[in-house]
Amino acid sequence: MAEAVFHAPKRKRRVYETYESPLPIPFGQDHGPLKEFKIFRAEMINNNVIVRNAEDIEQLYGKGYFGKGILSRSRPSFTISDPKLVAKWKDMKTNMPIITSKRYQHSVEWAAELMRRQGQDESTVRRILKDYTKPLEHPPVKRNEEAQVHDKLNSGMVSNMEGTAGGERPSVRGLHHEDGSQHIGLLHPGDRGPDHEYVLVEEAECAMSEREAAPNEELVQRNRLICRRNPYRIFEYLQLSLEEAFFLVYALGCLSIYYEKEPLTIVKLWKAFTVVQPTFRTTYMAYHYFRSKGWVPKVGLKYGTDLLLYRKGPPFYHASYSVIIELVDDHFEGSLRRPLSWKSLAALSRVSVNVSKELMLCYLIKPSTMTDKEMESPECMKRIKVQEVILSRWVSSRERSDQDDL
Amino acid sequence: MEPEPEPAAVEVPAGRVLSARELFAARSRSQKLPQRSHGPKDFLPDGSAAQAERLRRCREELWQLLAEQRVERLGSLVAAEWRPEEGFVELKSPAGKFWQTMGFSEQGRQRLHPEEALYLLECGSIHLFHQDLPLSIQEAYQLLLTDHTVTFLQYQVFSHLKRLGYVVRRFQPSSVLSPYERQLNLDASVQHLEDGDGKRKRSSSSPRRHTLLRAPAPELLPANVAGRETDAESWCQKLNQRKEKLSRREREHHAEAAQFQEDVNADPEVQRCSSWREYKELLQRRQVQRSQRRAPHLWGQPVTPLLSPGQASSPAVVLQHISVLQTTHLPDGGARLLEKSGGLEIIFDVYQADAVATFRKNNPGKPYARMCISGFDEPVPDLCSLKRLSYQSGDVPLIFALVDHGDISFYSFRDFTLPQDVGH
Repeated sequence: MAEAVFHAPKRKRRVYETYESPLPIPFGQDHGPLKEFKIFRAEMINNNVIVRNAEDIEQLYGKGYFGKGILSRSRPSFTISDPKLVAKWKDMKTNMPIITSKRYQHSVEWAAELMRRQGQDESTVRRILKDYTKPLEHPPVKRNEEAQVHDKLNSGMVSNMEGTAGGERPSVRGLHHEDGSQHIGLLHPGDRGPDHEYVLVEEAECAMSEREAAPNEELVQRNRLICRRNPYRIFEYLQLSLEEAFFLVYALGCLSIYYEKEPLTIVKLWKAFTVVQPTFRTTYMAYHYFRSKGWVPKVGLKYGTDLLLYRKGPPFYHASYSVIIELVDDHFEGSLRRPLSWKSLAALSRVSVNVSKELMLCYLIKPSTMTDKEMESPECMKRIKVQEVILSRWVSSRERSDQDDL
Repeated sequence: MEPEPEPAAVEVPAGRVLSARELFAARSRSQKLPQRSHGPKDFLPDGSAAQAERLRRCREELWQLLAEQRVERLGSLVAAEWRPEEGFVELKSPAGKFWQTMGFSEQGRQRLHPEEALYLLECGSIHLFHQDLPLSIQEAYQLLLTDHTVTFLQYQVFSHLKRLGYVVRRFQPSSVLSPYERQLNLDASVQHLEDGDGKRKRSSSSPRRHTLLRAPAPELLPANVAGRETDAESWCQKLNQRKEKLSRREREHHAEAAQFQEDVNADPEVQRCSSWREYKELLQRRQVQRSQRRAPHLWGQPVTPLLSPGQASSPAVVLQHISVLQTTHLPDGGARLLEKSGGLEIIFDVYQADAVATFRKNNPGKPYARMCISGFDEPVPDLCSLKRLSYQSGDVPLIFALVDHGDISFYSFRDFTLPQDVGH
């Protein structure tokens, strides 16, 4: 056989996630024909597609692995929590981030700077911040249902009064609730979903005792966690690549992209994205093709190619294929996005083999009768053909009994 | 007479004709190859005596091997004659064991291709003559490898594979269609290309003074009001018409806005509004529509999403709806590319070594692979060449051999179709 053989993808040894769904849309036979599904919302910010709503981010990444958190490696998982402190205070059993006092001071100073730039005078700034950053007993209750949960949390904390870390005693001190105070320092007010307005700050217990203590007597440093409000919150957004965004809009109809509060039509996106990224149409067609086969394409920058193909998603399997995309015409010729020499092809092949991926060349064949006008609409894809080619290296001196397929 | 030295210990200086004793010594010397490795590789000179000694031994072994004279019994060499005009070598005495996998019969004679003859010469199996004189290996390289026969690069690949034990024959295009081709019922049918677009209409442009304002249409005016044409030149002079200098930020913003925003005047519905009130009514209608119906910017447009909500019954069904790109295969359309020549060609058919015992030249069977040979500096074959060559190769895998100053690496481009992945 002259065709390449399909090898099953390699499962990752340790999987930390459960698989939710292949795509961020509801499936079901029992939905009526006019059943709507939720349309997520994204915005164009500086020629990038950004999703800000926390619920949307959760859905888009969790079902199909679309996008990347702007402050994370892949899944949006940014937290200001200091991992060392979290480990130290793990008996606290709290969801609030735990940060150092120094870090909290930075937040306060940033918020102050922001207010000064907004034109507030110094005394106002100080007054507002002093009020906002007062220590709290526990997070104020917003709804009645949460009261029980918070009480449990509080009692849990109280019962853990015995410190475990080196003789320190954790304690959470606080004053009265605060209600209806203004939200200062929020970059973008609005419904953000679950966020970390409340943080636990590790602060030193008040002043040391007698200074006349003997030099070799150890001063007991007592730290405690104080609940305060964070005046300068950082929100992590999800960034979608142009291909991912267009796919969600055009193929699934589950995303709307806004520019300055106006939603954009499909044709407009098709044109505008090409201006931002001149090779967008080519890369999009390949992206669409692989998605329509049920694979998850992610960017291939790490290995010098255009796409990496995953089965199910990055958390479950190692990427199976590393793909280079080219657009050619009816006579199977065309100016290439990346003209390859044998040297560069050999290098790419080596890199791919070293990371256990197969190198794939994906040719998109455009009929010569296709006009430029036709290319102005994504419907032109119906006339495009896709040719996949696997490039592999053959070793002539391999043991003859070893050679199964080429 | 002095005692004769050990036959195997006789050392022969290069360039001399060997004496009888030397010839015998050469025949009975040890056939064992020296151990190749003298320990792990050293990356830097360390000036030690041990390292110097290892290097010396390695070099000495190498020189000894290279200096060995090749000695064959005249009777066991097959005599052969090089025919340059015809491009083959004709055997003058009966062929030996090599005849099982090499050579061809023609007009009752036994013949060899130039690459086969050169290889056998290097092996010490034949005695190659040209104009009644025996050829040295160097002369044979020069005479037998030409552009009309087999190039040097192609010979290097040939001998590399032969030495690994493969059977290498000249390319024979299979006359039998592969089952795949029969399935596709491929013919050399030529697709008709449609004519290009008709000529575009030239847009007419009428030169106008840009300050001239035409008279308003009478039907738009109240009954007793007359409109007239006017030249706003005098008013324009009272305005500051200097071009506004935008900051970089403003310019960037404008560029971005131009990409993503629609010109409100380009909207046909807006154009149909003849008054401000009608426009406001339009906006209101749209607002109501937006809250009632599904997203009009997606569904109320000429191009709508591929999937509508009611169609999402299962992941497999969804994939079906969004699959608009067609898959194609390498051999598709390859037939009509056969007219193209030049560039890469398939040179050899390669059979595996364990097929040697049962190999029949008249009926070799399907090759293990077919070879195209190219220099490392030459361009990578484009899709056009890949399709043509893979069509010619049929269902035998095609391998590209790249020669880089004696180093040979092999790559294959194989047709592939990614399977659909659903239902994990």
